[in-house]
Amino acid sequence: MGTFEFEALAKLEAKNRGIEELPLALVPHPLGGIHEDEVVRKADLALESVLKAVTRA
Amino acid sequence: MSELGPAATIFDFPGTHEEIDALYQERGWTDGLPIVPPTEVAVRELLRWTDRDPREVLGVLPPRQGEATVERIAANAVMAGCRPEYLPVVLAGIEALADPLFNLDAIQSTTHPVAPLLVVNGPIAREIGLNAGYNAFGQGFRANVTIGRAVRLVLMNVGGGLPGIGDRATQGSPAKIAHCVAENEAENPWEPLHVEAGLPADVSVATVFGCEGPTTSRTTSARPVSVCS
Repeated sequence: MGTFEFEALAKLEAKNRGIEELPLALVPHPLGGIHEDEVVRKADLALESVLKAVTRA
Repeated sequence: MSELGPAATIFDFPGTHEEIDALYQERGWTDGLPIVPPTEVAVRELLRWTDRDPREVLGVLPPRQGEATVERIAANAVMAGCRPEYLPVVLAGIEALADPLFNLDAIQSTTHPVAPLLVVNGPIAREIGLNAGYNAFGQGFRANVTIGRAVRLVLMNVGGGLPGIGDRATQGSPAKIAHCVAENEAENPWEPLHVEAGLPADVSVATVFGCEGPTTSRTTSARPVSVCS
């Protein structure tokens, strides 16, 4: 789970750690210092990719 | 860590100092400042200041997961302008940064303007001339500036902390160029940092912090003030 700001870095680091296929759930930056309603909105945005990642065969 | 990593790559480049520097700039192997060419002779001279195997891996540095061998660290220390006797401090600093407790992943990649700070205690600080007094964080003292720079070059060249790629700092900080001081033990009203940590006073120690560059906090009031934190 992360933000699009770190997408390229996350992919690079996953590759360097030998887990290139690591599923990522990404939301708009930032995650810190945001109000609760924004947290809920971002969680909603991430739901689909989280479900896809955890149910992948 | 104690396993051996790969030997450093050695290549022939029959050019002038300027041409070597241009090559290193072009390949992205520098912090933007000119480098001292890390010739075999120069790196070997630094390695005389450690008993460790040149291929010993002191840590694996994120985000590249690069193996920080003694030899690679020495090469970057030469590039930074370190004198040979500074090597033990650079090695200790990198070994501390690679400890999982430090969380180098976050310090390397965060958008926040933070950098590792190396604080050196004990006899080696005095022996190599690390400044703990006037302008300790500023210019004028080779040991402070080049040891700090060597750490940064290792984080870039071995760890892959490259601006905009492995290092996402939005504005960065001058502290990311060089960030190394000695503690002013003689004028410190408290115990030296390493003694507080339970080590003998006569042992040389490098402590690392993940922090912003220095700021000054002071009051100009003549009256006593209370400060809450």
